[in-house]
Amino acid sequence: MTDGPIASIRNLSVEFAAKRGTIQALRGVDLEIARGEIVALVGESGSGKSVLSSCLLGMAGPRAAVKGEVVVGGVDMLNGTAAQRRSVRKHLLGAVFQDPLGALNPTMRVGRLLSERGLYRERAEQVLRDVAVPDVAQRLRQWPHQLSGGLRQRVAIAFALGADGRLPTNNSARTPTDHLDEAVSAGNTPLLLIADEPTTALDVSVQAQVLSLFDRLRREHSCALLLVTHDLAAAASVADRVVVMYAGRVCETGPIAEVMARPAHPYTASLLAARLPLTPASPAPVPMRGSPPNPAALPSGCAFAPRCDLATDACRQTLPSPVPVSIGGDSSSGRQVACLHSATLLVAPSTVTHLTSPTPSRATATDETVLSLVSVSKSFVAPGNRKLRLHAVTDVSVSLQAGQSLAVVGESGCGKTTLLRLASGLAQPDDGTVNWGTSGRPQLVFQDAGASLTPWFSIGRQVTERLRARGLGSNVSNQRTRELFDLVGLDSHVAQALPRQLSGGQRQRAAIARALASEPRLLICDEPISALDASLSVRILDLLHEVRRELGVALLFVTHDLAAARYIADDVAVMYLGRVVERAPSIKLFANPQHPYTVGLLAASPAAHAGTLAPTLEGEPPSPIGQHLGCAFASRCPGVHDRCRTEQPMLLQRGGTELACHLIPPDGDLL
Amino acid sequence: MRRAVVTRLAWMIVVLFVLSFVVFSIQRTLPSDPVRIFFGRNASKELIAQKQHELGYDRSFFSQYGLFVNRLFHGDLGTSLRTRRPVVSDLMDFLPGTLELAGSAAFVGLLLALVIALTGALRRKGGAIVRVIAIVFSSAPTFLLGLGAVLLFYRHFHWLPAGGRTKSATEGNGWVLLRSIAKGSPSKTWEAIRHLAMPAVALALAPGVAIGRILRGSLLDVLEQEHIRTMRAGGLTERSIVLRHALRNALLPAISMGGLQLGLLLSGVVVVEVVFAWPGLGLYLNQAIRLADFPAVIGVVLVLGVVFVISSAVVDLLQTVADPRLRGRA
Amino acid sequence: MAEATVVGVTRHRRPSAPIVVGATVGALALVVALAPAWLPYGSRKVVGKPFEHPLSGHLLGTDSQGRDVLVRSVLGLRTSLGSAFIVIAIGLVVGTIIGLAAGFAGGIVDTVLMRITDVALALPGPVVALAIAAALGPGLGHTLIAVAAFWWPWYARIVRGQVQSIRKLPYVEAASLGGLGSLRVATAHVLPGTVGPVVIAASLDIGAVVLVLAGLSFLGLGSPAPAAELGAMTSQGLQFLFNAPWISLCPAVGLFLLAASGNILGDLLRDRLAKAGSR
Repeated sequence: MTDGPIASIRNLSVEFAAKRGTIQALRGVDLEIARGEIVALVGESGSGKSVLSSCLLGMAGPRAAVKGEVVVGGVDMLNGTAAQRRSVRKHLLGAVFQDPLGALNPTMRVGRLLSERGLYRERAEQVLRDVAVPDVAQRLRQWPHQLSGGLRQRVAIAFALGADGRLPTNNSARTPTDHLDEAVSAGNTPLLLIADEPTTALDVSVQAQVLSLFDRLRREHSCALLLVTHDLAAAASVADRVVVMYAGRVCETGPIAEVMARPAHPYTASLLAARLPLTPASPAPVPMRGSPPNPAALPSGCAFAPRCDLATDACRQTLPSPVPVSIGGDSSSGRQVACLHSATLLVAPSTVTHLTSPTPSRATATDETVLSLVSVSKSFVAPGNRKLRLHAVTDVSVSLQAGQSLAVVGESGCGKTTLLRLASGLAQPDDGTVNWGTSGRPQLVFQDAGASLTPWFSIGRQVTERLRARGLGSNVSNQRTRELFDLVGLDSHVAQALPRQLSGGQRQRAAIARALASEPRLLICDEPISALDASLSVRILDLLHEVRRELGVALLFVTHDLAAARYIADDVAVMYLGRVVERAPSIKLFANPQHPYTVGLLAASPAAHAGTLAPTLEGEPPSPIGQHLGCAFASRCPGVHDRCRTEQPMLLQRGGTELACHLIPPDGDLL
Repeated sequence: MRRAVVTRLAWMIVVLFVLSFVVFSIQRTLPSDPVRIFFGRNASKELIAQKQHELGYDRSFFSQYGLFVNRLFHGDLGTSLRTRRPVVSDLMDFLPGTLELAGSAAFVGLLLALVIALTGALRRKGGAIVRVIAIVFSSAPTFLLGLGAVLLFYRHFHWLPAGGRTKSATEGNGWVLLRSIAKGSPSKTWEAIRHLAMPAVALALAPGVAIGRILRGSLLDVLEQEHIRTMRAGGLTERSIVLRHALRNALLPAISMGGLQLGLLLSGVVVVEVVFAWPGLGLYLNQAIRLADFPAVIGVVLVLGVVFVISSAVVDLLQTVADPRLRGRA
Repeated sequence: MAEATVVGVTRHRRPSAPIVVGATVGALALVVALAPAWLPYGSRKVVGKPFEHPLSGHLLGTDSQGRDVLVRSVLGLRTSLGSAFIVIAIGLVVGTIIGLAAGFAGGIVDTVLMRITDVALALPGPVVALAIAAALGPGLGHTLIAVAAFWWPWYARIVRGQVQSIRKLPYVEAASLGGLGSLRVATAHVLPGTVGPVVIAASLDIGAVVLVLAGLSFLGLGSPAPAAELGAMTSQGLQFLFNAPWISLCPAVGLFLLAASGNILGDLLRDRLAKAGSR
């Protein structure tokens, strides 16, 4: 019976009692996971995907009302005793959660932590080596806070791998492992890993490393994986099968490559269409209409109907269930779709896909300089050691003309946030100069729009306050406030609302309106979409485009999201460990990256590889504390040679690209 | 870790000096001249002047402070006006009683805090009851608890003695409990515990409940954290999750609350000793206040201050032990 | 497209618990404050024989000198309440000024002010207050000064912490980038954020201050003898505890009720702020 599923879910429904009615988290979900299979569970926040993974672990919690059937390794995870469920978690399952900062007990050393899962000394070292943790012996003595984010996630995975894949036989009358292949389960790894957004909090390059680690565990140990994620591209790089969820229901399931190539549910199609593309050939993103449904007041028919172009009265009245569909006469692939119109979609996919959306125009750029940073540097006292300095930004020069848009991209800790604070005047450089030309101070759009609005003033008042501060009269200010609200797409009656009464998208619009009230020539954006769902973020980016086109405002866009950078910016600057390593026009940089780090970063991005595992950039950036000799990337660079380790490369022109690398000769210089 | 200890000890010494300075300043602003009070009204001017010179009262403020500190190091706190004995000898007699009482109260309080924190916390029940208990006991004056206890357990039930440390009035000083334990005398130990029971519990209730409430809230917060979910998913038993993983993480806010309660415990002990006629520093202080015996008042304040400063240093270091993340910082 | 919906606008139809409790406590406080106007006689009037039992003519009996225990307890409550307000008011004023100065000025000013605050906090407040009160001599004023001297550091620390954390919040950075004057930023965008926590701390302190003052009064460090003070009344009644327990218990229970009202009020306020913060 080796082919039997190791986990199966039948007709699972979960409800939570809430103040404003009953929240229906799951509504009749079926799912099976076979040995060694990687299943991606994809959906936006609130789709019920995390609740499903909790049910698989038998940890739905006392507040959840659960109906249906969940069986893992032969044990009923809903009605089994607490001891039985715990035994399954201990021996058969492994779980990895999103937040690597919070996933490890901060008061336990790594070694002690792993021993809690039965991983003692040698076994712990072996498992840590298995998940590619360097300097294993040393790690076991360290505290979680002494590890980087990527390492913590690896330790969390090692902890998850502590399951031995066998239930103790004297535990209960039934021996659930009987029907499983003993030879395989003797592999000393869990039968199933459940990973809930395991890479969301990680940098792109580390993300790729973790995904390929999952792939290797499956290949070497036949360890099945349920990958819960909102990121289709990441899912596609490792998963065999995808389950797309919306409002607590499965809307589509099937082999992931096939689903992504030919989505049969309108929601899947819209989700794919709303993606920010990374490759030049892909079509422009189409933002999804409307917003996700309120889980406490779901419609009786298809929950996606209000946002669907194909919806008919039938959709609004009946709740569609997943039914097998055949594509090109082949029904063996196990594709199931819960849509009355899937046939229409499969026959004529163009009905949902895209109109041409505005491409960034460069026509508005003029000679007026709105920002000029000349070799600025900034360092801080190192946390934990007052004698050392943390060099956040070192010798960076950036200039920007009116109407231009520049994205600064890099991984966490590369100094992009410090650069943003220097450029906006919130911080003063230790060295170098910051100049805004004649245009006055730039304005800032913050990552967390909610926190950037004063909580006790209505948003209308916060905009008017800026106008009044510029000496405008009250009538003019009120008029102008209405115009600004109109420009950013906010209804004027929202002006009376306090920030906490608005949705995330509305807050970001209000924050942009307020920034524009000061009539800046430069708008600096700090990851303005990272807190928003994918369907909203395209709309905010489009708004920024529009602001730029209508007002000729320049944009400095700081982000870790390469696709967002490509979508918003004419020029992209890549930062690594406090320095700009490459700056080039966006089209050029994404088509033909030069610096080895840019090459690695682009390669590591799952969006750049349709459905295959991205080649990984090994290691993690070195610590920004203390001084480094030579090129900071030398420790990870595939083409490194001696000169890189001793001499800091200068940022020099190479045919329209500015580049700091010894490996590529500058213009007119023959190696 | 070593650096944290050194920094904390250095800070403790600074605070002790400030304490001595504050106490000295208070002493110097006394409206009455201790020398005159000591010798009485009929003393000759020469005698007073000579004594004042001996004690350095004719010197500048800071040079007098120097003398004060110097005398402190030599264990000289002057002479009590009431008992006519060196204040230091009086303090040595009464300090053990106060330490035994305060120590037992701290122990009982911590036990109570643990019971409050762990009972019902796992099932998230009893929050409202804990809240009512917390408000009741943080609002009850220590002497009300003491009076109620005396009326109930002594007057009504005759279970416990009304006051004092032992049955006989002559053995009331020194380490009564510790000595009886060391001597291995169960009857004497039991007697000491019976005398300790009411005052210690009366003193422990308010801080114990306050700490317990904080610990409970913090424990419930920690149990929601992701690393606890990781442990649950790893199949650990709920018991080991709470005791081995959650509790230590929940300690930090409770320890700071404990530090806060320390000051209240040390002022509470004075009141409780008066209520239970407990021969300790508090009773001594109460008598000294009523007879304007300032050398004695100053002596007690200094000793209680030192106890407080040292124990808060210990509490702070406990925080560093509880949370490894605090160790790197100064 | 315009995003028009406003989520989460709910109005309370019913007045919330803190408002009800606040109003009740406020009304009671007013009744107690106006006590001399409605009480039949003063605290020192001998109204009957000594040690009259409760409910035998005088609601809560008489004390060792034949004075009405209820009347004296109500007047004692009034003194306690007024004293607590004075101590907290002094603490709030001094603490807010020092905290604001330290938080806004930063640098050396901050360091010096906060070191002073830290030292004051590191000393055993109630015990040193006891020494100060003893040195200044008997008298309620002296006791209040002594306690206030050790109460302000708490508020200084809270205000300074609030100012420091609020100053770094994006909305304050946004306000200063938006060309608003620094005074406008400080008063309109920072200061309102500090009020909540300080008010809550102050209301939670009512009970604690009442109890500390009562403890000092119990030890003989309050107004001298004939004055009606709850702590002193309790300790004076101790010698008659077994024969006339009401003399000690009534003022002690009065103190308990007063402290409990303050603590309930503070607790509810804190809840409300926590809820507002989590939204």
